Amino acid sequence: MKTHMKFLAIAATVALATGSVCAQTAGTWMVRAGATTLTPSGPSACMTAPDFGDTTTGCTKSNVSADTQLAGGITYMLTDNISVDVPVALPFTHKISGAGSMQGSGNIGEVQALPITVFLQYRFLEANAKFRPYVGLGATYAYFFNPQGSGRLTATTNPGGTPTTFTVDSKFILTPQIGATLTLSDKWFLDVFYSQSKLSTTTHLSSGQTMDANLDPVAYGIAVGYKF
Amino acid sequence: MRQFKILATALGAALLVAACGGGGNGDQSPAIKYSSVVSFGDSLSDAGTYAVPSIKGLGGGMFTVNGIAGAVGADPTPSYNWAQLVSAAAIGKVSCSARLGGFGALESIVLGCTNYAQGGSRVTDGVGTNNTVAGAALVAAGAATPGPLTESVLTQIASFVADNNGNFKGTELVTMLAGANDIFGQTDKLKTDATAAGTAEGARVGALTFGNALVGALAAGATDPATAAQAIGLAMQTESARTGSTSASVVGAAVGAAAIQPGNSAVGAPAVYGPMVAAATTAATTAGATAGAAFGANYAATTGAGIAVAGMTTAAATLATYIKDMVNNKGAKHIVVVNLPDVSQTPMAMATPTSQQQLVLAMTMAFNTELQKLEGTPGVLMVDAFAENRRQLATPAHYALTNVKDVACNLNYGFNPLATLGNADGSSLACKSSNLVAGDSSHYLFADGVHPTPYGHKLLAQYVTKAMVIAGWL
Repeated sequence: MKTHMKFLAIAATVALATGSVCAQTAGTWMVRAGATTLTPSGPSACMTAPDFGDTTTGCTKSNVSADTQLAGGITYMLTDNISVDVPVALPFTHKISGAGSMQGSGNIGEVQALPITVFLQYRFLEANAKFRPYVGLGATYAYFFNPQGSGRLTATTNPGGTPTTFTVDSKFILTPQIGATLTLSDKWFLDVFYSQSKLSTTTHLSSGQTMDANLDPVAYGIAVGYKF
Repeated sequence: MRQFKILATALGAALLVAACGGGGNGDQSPAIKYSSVVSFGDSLSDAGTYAVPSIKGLGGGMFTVNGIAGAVGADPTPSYNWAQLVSAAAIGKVSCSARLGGFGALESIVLGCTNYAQGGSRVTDGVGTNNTVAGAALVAAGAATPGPLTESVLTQIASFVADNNGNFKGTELVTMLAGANDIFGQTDKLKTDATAAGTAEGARVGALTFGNALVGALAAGATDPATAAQAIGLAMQTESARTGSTSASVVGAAVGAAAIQPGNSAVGAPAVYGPMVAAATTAATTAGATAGAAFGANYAATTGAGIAVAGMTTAAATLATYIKDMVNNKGAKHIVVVNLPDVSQTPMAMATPTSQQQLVLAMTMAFNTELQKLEGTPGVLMVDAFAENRRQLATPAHYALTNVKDVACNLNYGFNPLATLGNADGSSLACKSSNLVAGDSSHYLFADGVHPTPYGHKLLAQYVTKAMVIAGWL
């Protein structure tokens, strides 16, 4: 927490101290706010037995819904072309529904996710170019928290028993990214980005069963930013 | 400064939520709030009708591995059947038997319990599995019976109605699983009928063989055997037709007629005709037995099998009318109808010849096909236990089943108290942790020849609850 505070304090100080640097030159701070959509792919692999299934009719699987949240970030230009970017977002809430032999079950639970990422980015063209595409590579900690089962999950894994709970393994992954900024005025700009990561995780149920999934989430977002 | 605050708040929030991990229960409330779970059927749903002193004293009472204690969901799987678990899932309470009795105890009402299923029960016939006509009469008269109650599903529904002022409230979840004992009943009837048919044919062929053999032997010594044979045959027919004739008198008439044939007087001596009668008897016995067995088998495979299969269709059609009556006239709004698992692949059926397994399969499928016509009836949810059971048998690993062929209970005499001297014919009704087969049988599918283990029941329960979840019933 302390580190973050310092980091932010610096950002704020810079924001207050600097005057009118319009371009994305070395030493520029930028903040942005907008919305980001996080879309995991599915369905998962088979849940471990019992899974209502066989080789012809499938097995218990799950799908994870997409979510859109208020999101933004702060960027610091190390050079005219290289930047460090930290996206900030409210936690994403993903609904989990049955698939495979559980198709049609509706929501069996939900989990919140927070992809905590630090990107190193390369921004093309001149620092004062109106349109600047960029590519980035991020180190992400895909953090899953607050998993909530439902009566439907309990009924189909432990009928009549104590509610079935679960946890989802959090993972360190790499996140490649492409994006672009469009200068709107001296200070304001528009930022869009798209990223896709490889993310394989395991869900552990209190029934003793597990379920592997390649979530490989796609993230894209749009934000309005301000340069200091 | 404002940006600072926003960022600090956002990051702070992220860290805050990060601090609280672990899985939560979420929303556990069912889609429909039921007031009770009412079950009708047979031993597969029976929650302990026969847990009377004589059976309870053996450590039994339910048709599975008895006495495994623990809350629902515990490991090893406690001794609850699927209907009880569905009750626990729907209303948070394991169901209990609404009637207690049989095996020497008077039938009594258990207040507050809503599971009417009884081991051995058939759809309509009160004489269920392991019951007798006399036993069923005792039950009907309200007297104690030495055997099981096996009150039919029809009677069970009437009992519920009687217990509840004539009607369903509409808030009950009803479960129905019946028909397996009709298979056993039809099979027993088929055996009886086939034996009767075989015996009759054997007697007919035996008599014919005896007559022909005796006539031939008695006539052989005459001057004109052909004429003699005609005379002897006529004498036998005449005597046979006479009221009060016996086999001895028929033989006497034959010998008498033979001895007066020209050149044949010697045959009248017991030392001569005696061996002829014996030889004819032997020939008749052999021919009669062969013909009787063949005829009986043929009857069983054709006429009898047809009657048995048709009987299952009738049973299912009748059950369907009971179910529709509950919905249309008695106020029931949610009835889960579970069809028959594949009875032909139970350990009991697998121990019989292939032809018998095929017949049991045909009976099972006839029942299920007819019952399936309920699909789409408002208030009725069909659950295909047949298909699920076949998946369990085909790919046990998908269900964490370690054995789908053998039984978990040691049913041998000396181990299972319900087994008869020298036989392995015990029942899961008296099966418990202390009389299981050696090794870990906790994930076997079958407890005895037809009944699931507690784990097998749990699998069926969650298949039913899954169907209910998908239908929006849970």
